[in-house]
Amino acid sequence: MDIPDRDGDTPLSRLLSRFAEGAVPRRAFLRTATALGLSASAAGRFAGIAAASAPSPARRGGTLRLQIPIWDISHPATFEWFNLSQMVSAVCDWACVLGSDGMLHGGLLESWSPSPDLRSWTFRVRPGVTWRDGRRLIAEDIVWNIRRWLDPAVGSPYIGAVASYLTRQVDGHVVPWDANWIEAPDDLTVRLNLLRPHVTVAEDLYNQCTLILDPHEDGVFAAGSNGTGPFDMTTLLVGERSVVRARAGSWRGTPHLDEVHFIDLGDDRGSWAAAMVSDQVDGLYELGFDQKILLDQVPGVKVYAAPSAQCGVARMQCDKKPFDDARVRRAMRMAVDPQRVLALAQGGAGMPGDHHHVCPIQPDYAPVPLVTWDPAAARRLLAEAGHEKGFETTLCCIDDAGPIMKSTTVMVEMWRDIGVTVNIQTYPQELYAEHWKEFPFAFTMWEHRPQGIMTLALGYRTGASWNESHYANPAFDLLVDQGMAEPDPVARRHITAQLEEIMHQDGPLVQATWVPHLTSFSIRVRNYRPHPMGYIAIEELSLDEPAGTTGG
Amino acid sequence: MKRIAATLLTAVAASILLFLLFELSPRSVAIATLGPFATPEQQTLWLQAHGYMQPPQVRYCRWLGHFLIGDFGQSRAFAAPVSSVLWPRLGHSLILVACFFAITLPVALPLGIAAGLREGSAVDRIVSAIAVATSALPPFASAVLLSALLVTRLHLVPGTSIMTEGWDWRQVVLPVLVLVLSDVGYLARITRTSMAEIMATPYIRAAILKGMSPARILFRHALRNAMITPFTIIMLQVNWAIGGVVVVEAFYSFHGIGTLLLQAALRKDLPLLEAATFVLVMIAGITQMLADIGYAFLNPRIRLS
Repeated sequence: MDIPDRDGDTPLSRLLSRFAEGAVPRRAFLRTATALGLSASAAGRFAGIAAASAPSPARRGGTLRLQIPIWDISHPATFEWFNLSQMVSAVCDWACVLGSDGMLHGGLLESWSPSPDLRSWTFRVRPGVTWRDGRRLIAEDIVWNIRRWLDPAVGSPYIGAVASYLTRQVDGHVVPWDANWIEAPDDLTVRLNLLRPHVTVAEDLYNQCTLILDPHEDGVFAAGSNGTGPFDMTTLLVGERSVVRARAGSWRGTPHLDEVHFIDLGDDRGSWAAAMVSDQVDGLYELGFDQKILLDQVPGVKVYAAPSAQCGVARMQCDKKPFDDARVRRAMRMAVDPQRVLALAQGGAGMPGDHHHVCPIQPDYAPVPLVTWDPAAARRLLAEAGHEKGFETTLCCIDDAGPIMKSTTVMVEMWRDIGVTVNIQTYPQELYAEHWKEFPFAFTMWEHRPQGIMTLALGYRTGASWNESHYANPAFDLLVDQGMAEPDPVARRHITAQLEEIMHQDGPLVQATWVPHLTSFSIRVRNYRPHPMGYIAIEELSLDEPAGTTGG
Repeated sequence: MKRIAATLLTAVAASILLFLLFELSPRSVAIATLGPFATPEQQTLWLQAHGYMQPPQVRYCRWLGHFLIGDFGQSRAFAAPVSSVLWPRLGHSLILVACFFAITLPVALPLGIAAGLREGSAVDRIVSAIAVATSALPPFASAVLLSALLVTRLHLVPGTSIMTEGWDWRQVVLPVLVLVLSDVGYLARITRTSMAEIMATPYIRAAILKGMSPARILFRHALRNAMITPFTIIMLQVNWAIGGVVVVEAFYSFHGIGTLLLQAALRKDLPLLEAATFVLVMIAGITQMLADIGYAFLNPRIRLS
């Protein structure tokens, strides 16, 4: 998209004008401008950033072997974890893509622009894109996918992200708010009409569950599925391995690699590192802090840490005793020292948290006075709330034999100092995922989102589908709605500051750290760019030399 | 013939138990299959479509019939027919077991026999010390130690047993070595004790006093009787090594039936769980039958009684 007139009356024009006046920081400008439809290159030009240098010359050919858990990926619209989308994204594309630079880039939707009132968003489908079977990609293909995500029978998490502006409740059922909520006026245009103004409409299209599938395949993905991406999937054996093979003719270009072999190494993270050490894989999709310590010392292996807004949250259900008292929730926060949790549980990797779930790397983060670690004051608060002798409770979490167990164990010791005895009840990941909204007190991992307010809206707004803490605060909800309708990043930051304060005083969570996304690759692998959500653009990767055979 | 009938009876009893455990409550099957957020209407539709509205005895017969023809249903966790997941995993485990016994038996039995023949001798003490040391080391600890030494430091063998490029013997070295280390001492001590007991019996003393050669005493009179207890242990270890070495399989990403069973349980994959459990029960039944035949060979009085 070309740079629009700064004197216009669109949200983007106003943003450009404010940036030109020096009222908007550059990072916030870049992220907001791309979310509002300015192309990343135009935003960079406007902000005076030199174009990124061309990637180093890439050798063509070779097979990359990448460790990743291989679960059932037959229903991408229902994915709840980002790693599930990695393999499908080799074959299919997103409508919009959050880059490793933090800016939103065009995917199958090339550009977009909101109406002045932010209630109608018009997207332009990238022209000339074809499915692998030769059919031309048209707007109806995109519309079919978005309609499907909003069908409650499908069970897509996308509903949770967009419920506030695309749906309403009728007799207890979620339905689109209007018959014309989505339109395809022509083959290259998609329009979303919203219930209320909203600024993260395009960003919401980059989600683990929003890959665009071929409507002819009815939402089911399998080896051999049709797609618009640069690879074909030739093999998919759940729990074992998957193979994708490069193809020519994709709008993303022809990949450098011939094939990528995704390999499931089971649940034991120790074996992932062992496979890396013995050259059985060229990369690990993710690794733990213990493995980072080992792999940091292995020659020929490079560990990457992408700053990320992913974190573990010890959230308390506000409608269950004793957490129905805000003083108890505050005391739980004041008992935890984020710096010590960071050092003991994450070996210092990442950042300390501040109990409000908005990360310093997110453009809407606002610095507010930190919650002070003060066990004595926490004990006084508990006494005021009628718990002079403390209380006993149970914290539910996933048994990951890694960062979750370490963080919870460290915090349990800190809560003991204020007289709160916390018993840890662990669950396998699958079982936890089935019951995560039921536990009165639980530690849940949350993934990175481009804006902090997106997480707050999804996880803490009254009645939100992922509101696992049952938090309900009308003042908070009002501010979230205001923030979601505010295109000016500086004004939105003022709103976020108020939200962060509310979380400090009244919020349902203890959030001690931010967890970086750790990845590891052989130094033979070129052009890897760490991404806060863990996405690996495999079509950009190349191998310096053919990967060796196993072992040795 | 009686033993085969007993094994079949055990299989039927196991199948009834499995059915009662997993399938008696159709509603819980529907919840496990469709997930906890499926509505009662969806559950009912699914139950009707899959024949769960019929009486339990009818469902049991149908379920058993499917099992007998190898139709174990569809795995939810692996999105594939259960048989396509189960049999390759069982094959991997059988190869692991074969390698394990191929090393353990030739090492443990001679060591145990040598120690038991001369109780209290230097050989006995050395074997006992090694046996105690190795059997005291749990598999998860020896796995870490061996990986640190052979993978990280010496780069001699691969660190995992993923077999993505097809079967690779080098990838079996570590899991087999860990199993051998954890078991060889135990089996050697059992053999030693059994051998020492036999060597103290009056008929062996009589043979010695008659001036029979040590080799003749060992192979003609002592060995067969001394092998009854180790043989029992070995047959029990077949079941353990096929389905019970989850820690070793998980540590080395070895795709065996032990981790498969664990994954099925964690993911509430009932068809896979039922099939894997049933297959392991059948293996236990068959090894028990083989053990009975073996006892009769080692000690004919058992057959006569």
